[in-house]
Amino acid sequence: MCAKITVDPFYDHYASRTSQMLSSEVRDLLAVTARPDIISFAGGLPYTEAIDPEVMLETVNSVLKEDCPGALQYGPTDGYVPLKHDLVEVMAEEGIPSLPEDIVITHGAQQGLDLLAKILINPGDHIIMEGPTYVGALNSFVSYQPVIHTVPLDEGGMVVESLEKTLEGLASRGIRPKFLYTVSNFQNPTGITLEEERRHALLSLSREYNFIILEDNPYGLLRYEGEPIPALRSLDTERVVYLGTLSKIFSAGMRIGWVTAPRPVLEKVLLAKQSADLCTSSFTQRVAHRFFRERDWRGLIRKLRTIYRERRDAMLSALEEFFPEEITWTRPGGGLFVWVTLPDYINSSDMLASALEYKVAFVPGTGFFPPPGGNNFIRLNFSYPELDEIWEGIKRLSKVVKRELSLASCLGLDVGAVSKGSCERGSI
Amino acid sequence: MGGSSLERDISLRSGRRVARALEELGHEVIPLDVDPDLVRKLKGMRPDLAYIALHGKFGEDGTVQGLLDILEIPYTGPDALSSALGFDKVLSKEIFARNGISTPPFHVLTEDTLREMGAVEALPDVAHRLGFPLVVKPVAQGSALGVKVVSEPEALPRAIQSALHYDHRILLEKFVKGTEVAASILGNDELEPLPLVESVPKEGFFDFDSRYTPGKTEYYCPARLDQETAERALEVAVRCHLILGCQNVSRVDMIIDEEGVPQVLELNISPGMTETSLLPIAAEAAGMDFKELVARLIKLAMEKYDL
Repeated sequence: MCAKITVDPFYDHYASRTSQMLSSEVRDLLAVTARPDIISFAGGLPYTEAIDPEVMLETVNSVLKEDCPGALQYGPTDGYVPLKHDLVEVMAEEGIPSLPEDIVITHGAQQGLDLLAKILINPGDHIIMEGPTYVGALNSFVSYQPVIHTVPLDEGGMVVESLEKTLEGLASRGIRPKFLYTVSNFQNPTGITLEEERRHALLSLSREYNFIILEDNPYGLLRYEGEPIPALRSLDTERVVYLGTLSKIFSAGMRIGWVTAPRPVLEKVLLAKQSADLCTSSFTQRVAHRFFRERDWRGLIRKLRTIYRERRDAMLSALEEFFPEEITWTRPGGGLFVWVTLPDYINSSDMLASALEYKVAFVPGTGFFPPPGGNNFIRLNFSYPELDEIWEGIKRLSKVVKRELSLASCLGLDVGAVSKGSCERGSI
Repeated sequence: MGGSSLERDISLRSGRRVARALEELGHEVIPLDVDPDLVRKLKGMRPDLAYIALHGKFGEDGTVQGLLDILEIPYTGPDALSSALGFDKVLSKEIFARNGISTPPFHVLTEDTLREMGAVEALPDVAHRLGFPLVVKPVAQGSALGVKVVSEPEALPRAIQSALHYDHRILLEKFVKGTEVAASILGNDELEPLPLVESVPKEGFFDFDSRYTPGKTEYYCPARLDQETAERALEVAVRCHLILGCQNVSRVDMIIDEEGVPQVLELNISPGMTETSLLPIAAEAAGMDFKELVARLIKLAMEKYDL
């Protein structure tokens, strides 16, 4: 008698959306990057060492002294009102108008993404994203089973002509996309910022084709050069849903983000939030409020900008110094990431295995596109590694890349390449 | 467990599960994530026995076994030589073939032959001899990392490039159509083959995702084969185990081809112990739950060292 073995006895019980959540080879490879001997450009980690632990200790202490029962209690679903006033100020730094009552505080902007997907996407609905886009948004949306259209980016952000074409194509089939998702400033993963002109074009298209814009702006205050560009939300409060976060300017561990949106959308977000988790942590909201009320948070952002600018410069000079000329990369004016484009005959997921041998890690591009796609890109984070690690890490990575190019040349894969690499090992 | 190999995460999953079972069995367990401090730690704690839950390079290729031999610490599973032979698919396939065991025809290419001798020119010959589809795999790597099934000549260089990330030697092997089964063998002098486990991936082939995502592969145990074929397969597996001189445990992966002949693909000396791994599934079918399987492996190791 042969029996079918059921590894997971509840396999047939799961909702179909879980089939999108897979065990991934890349994720398992990245498990190796946690080792201390590996220089990792893989994470998107902010540099939390920038805050003095003593300051946090005092902040937490004063929260507990002043209102311990409140900090230990449930709170309102839309968030702790004094913190909302702080968030209004944070947005005002970028010229985004808002009122405390227009804000719902969420458990990180990531929860905001999930709640918005929950209230907006029916299975089979069409949505538009940048290609590449933020992997956390992609994964969150995918679980609600939409049809995803991607619009390519150039150095000015989303290519508007391409977006128009997509919209026309959909309209001709009688399809109206529900929303367009964009990380408008120093995008994750590319570091690219959407040009001002294109912001206006995007808004006018959203009116013409009647879709919502989700503007995700975690990096707007981490600008290292140039003049700020008005947020989409500040140009149009009627059509733009805005997601903010304290993760990159204060603490990712506090898990504090927020949504500000046209009133009816905000009402739905609030209902969804109620059923998801009742409220964001009363404790961390109070700690954050204390910090923003009593400490020089603008000074902290200035400090982070200085540290990150230095690290970005180090990464860009190291890339310039060590990388072969056929490789290109973005030069972000802010944020945390550099996006590297390899020749299309290179598979960066496979290359990660070699990179780990050289004790350096990155994130392969595939995760940032709906599959298939993104094989020949890699994302590098510069905010977390120290300056000397950045230099050494890029040096190691350049060896991996050169080996890759010469191997491709040996295998005759680099047909049509601008400059043909030599096949021999000696050329590395 | 753990370590720096590409199968670190799988190894940690195996290791944690085994450690829990060992504790439940009343042993004092010290989980060790292999790092440059390993020898110092081992010298300090002088364990009675090391349970090797390491996968991949250094864990399955005889490296850690050799080290434990030097330190005179008994360990579970085959010795350094059997491990080294098992992990090297070329050596083990050659040895199997010379002992009259069927294994799919293959050729080996190294990064050096491609770089220094222009081996790319030989690809059409290899392809002509093996035919399409063919399988490209790293010689020494587990969990099907870097393995690709290639069905047309144009896709061959890319598959080779991909496999070369996991080892500097690659194997081009004839694709054998048939039933994929794994035979787990337990024992020292007296060998007990466990029931065959048949794997049927829902799509594509038995790759990394299918192996470790519950629900992506269907398993049948015992395999859906007639008794004669199943017995023949188990017999072949026992011979492979003996030929490589394995002790305690091994798992032989093979494909039963359309003529009913077991074609041996490889022998594993540190079979996975995760929830979706084949050895625990086979043990379960033989009436041994996970804890009993772990207890058995410990007993076999003790026996090996006369402890």
